[in-house]
Amino acid sequence: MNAIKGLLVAVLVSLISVSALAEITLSTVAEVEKVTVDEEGNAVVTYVPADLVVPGDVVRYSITAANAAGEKPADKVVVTNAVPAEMVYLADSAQSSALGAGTTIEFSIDGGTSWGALASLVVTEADGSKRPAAASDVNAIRWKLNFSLQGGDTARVWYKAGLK
Amino acid sequence: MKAPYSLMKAGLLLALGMTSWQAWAVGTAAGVDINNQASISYQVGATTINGTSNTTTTRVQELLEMTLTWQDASDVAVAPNDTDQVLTFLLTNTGNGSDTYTLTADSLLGTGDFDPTLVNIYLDSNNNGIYDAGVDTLYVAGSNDPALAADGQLAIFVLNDIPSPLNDGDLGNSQLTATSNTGSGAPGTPIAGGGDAGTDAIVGTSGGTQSDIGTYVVSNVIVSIVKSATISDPFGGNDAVPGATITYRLVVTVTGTGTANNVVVGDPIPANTTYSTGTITLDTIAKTDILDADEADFNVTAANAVTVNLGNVAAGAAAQTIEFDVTID
Repeated sequence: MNAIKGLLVAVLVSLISVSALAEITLSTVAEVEKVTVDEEGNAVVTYVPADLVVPGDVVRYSITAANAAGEKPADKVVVTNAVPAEMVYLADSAQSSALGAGTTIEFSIDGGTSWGALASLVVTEADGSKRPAAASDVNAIRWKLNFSLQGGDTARVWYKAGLK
Repeated sequence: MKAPYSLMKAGLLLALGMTSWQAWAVGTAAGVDINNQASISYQVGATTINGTSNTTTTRVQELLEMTLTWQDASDVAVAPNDTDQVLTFLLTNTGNGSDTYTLTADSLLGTGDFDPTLVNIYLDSNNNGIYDAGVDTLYVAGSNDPALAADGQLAIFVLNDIPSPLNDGDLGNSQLTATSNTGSGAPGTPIAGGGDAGTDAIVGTSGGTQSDIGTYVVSNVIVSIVKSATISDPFGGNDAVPGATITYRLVVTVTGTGTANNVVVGDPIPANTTYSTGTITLDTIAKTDILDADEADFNVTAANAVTVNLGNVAAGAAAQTIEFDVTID
């Protein structure tokens, strides 16, 4: 009987931990940047759903991580996004809604094998020469949250890329 | 073929009005779907959990972009009553899909000193960039509108006749216009279903139509030669007696407008005189009698004559002086 109780407890614990494992929902939105000029001659930037784009358009990818209410805190949250091959990452556009709380943004120019601040990355050319990496060399970005994402909290990160 | 940014010259990009990241000659092709999915990892307690987001899909539409530029390095030199004088233009599809174009030429601009008379438009059917009469194809609007793939180029020739009378240096203009058959209008105008692969087309900054003007210049190039002779006899005088030396001087001047090409001056040695070996000079610099790298020879290009090849001489260039000696037999 005690053995059966123990088994039931084990099953319950595993059920609880399964529900705790599925707590963060990650969603991505693509929007194209539209620049219009208002009556006073000021440039007004708006974002509309990027279903259709043409070369030269700027697309903003927004990624939201939402920890459902009542769930356990998530630690060491890392959101990763590869820059689509047809797109060029635009300098300084990677941001986080939680920069103040501590988000470390890192870049990769080798598809996610190695990471670092953009200024620390070096491109080796076909002829063996080396040069500092430029924003256009970036092909993956990751955001490391330096805090625990509590149940009911969301963190939003984004970047902009131009269509080649 | 896409060229990596590092191979491109930043100055060229600026010249083309591109922003720094737009380093590709051909944009992403119309109809391509761009998919993007983010991923996440985090820890709950000691357990690491991985997840992914939804995938966004963005479809590339066709952007109508083009350039049309007059190609001749300088105003095309013509003479009054010349026929079928060629202006060369280059049409480039700078968009990301294929397109066809309607061409129109206008020679009644009234902007220069004269209006040439439009003859026809020809397409560079053998793609050598040079008008080949009888080879390149006559353009007929609506019948053989040129089709260009993304990044494709075609030379287009506008032929005009030149009226008369005209003055030296008069300018005449002729304008070529190419308009996308997919559509034109204000930049950003959408053309539903107009793009490749069933996409929409969107009019780019070119407005779907481009024009450029080529110019003719009336060039009356005149090559004049003034010949003079100086005699010195063996007795210290200037009498034309046997044994006296005659120094001939030819002063060659090019006036008018343009360039006289392949100017060759030939001067036969007069009867009863004999050329004095090794006496040719050009602007006082000695030239050999044999046919070699220098400009002059004797009795090679033409029998018993001095020949000097001055090459291409631009109008207004400094006069060139040829001298040589003969002796009276």
